[in-house]
Amino acid sequence: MDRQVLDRFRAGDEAAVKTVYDRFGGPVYALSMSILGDPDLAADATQITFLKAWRAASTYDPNRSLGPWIYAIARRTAIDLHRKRARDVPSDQVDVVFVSPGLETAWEVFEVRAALDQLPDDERRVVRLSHFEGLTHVEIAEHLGIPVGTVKSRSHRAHRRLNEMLRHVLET
Amino acid sequence: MSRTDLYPRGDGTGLEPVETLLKQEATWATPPATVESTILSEITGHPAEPEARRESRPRSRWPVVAGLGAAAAAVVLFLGLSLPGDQGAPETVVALRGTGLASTLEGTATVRITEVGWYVRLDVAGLPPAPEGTYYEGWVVSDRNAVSIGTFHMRGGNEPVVLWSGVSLFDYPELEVTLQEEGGGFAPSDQVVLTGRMDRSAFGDEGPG
Repeated sequence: MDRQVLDRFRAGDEAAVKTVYDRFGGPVYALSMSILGDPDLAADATQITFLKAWRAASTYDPNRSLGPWIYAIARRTAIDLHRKRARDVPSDQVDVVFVSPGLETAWEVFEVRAALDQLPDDERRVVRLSHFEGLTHVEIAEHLGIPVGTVKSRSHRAHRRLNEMLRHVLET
Repeated sequence: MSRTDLYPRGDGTGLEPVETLLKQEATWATPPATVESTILSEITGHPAEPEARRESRPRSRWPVVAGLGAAAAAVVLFLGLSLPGDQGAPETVVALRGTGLASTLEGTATVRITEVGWYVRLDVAGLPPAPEGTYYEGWVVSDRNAVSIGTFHMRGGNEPVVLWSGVSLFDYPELEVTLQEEGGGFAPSDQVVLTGRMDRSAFGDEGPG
């Protein structure tokens, strides 16, 4: 995300918020779904996250990457919503007592989704069909009505891009 | 045939550490379009439709659309009527009519000029969920060009859909909703579901001269 957008975001510019949502709306929603496991709550968490981010934008340091800053707000928001739903769990203990399989992998989900969203549509479609739907290259070709060779080349490009974008996640 | 031809998932792709995440639904989940519109409405000072996302209108399918025709036709009377928006911003209501896939489908698009772009709210209660592998896409169209104003799928209910246009509807007065195939490219498909035309005179002095 270019510096101009980040500066405008920091100044509270509405159009910049839309740009930031276009970039991080999917990752925030995926993270929220991973932690909360409920589409309505995840939608609430996403909405609250971006409104919090907009209100706190002046505290964002544009010299730092925006992703981790948004992630921190989103994670805390999802935990707070979970706490409100569960009740009786003090906010300062929530990380200790909060048990969710999604919490441990929240950062990875956020980063993976952010990388997926940066793929061209045709490559993301192939990745989804292969990893999420479990189809083979031949089945994907039949499903999309394109040659197997095209599926292979899209798959190859997509995986190369994902490996580059997710190097910091894959190496940890 | 290699192993990756048969089962081209984590094996050999370098993505093995995140393979579990790529298989889980949460990773691929898409936020409802109303989330973005609500955020932007809050920020621009235009209150979103109250509890729009949670509205649970009865879900209709194509065959039911014909029965809704008469009721929807009443809404069409708003065509061309300029109204003040929630914050006094000028807005108008455009009648939408079904073509091709659902010729009896009707609805409205509320169009409003805002400081960050053109707000377009679609109210089409009879529009069914887009079939798996497809999605709806809104377009504003001029004599020469079409510009996408967002995508949606209607799988979560029949609530209004808010889209945003970064180009002026004075220049792109036609509104279209198409059914698009996932991975089918960036151009509007031939499967036009709804169409309508904004009457620029509805904005009076707000219009472009």
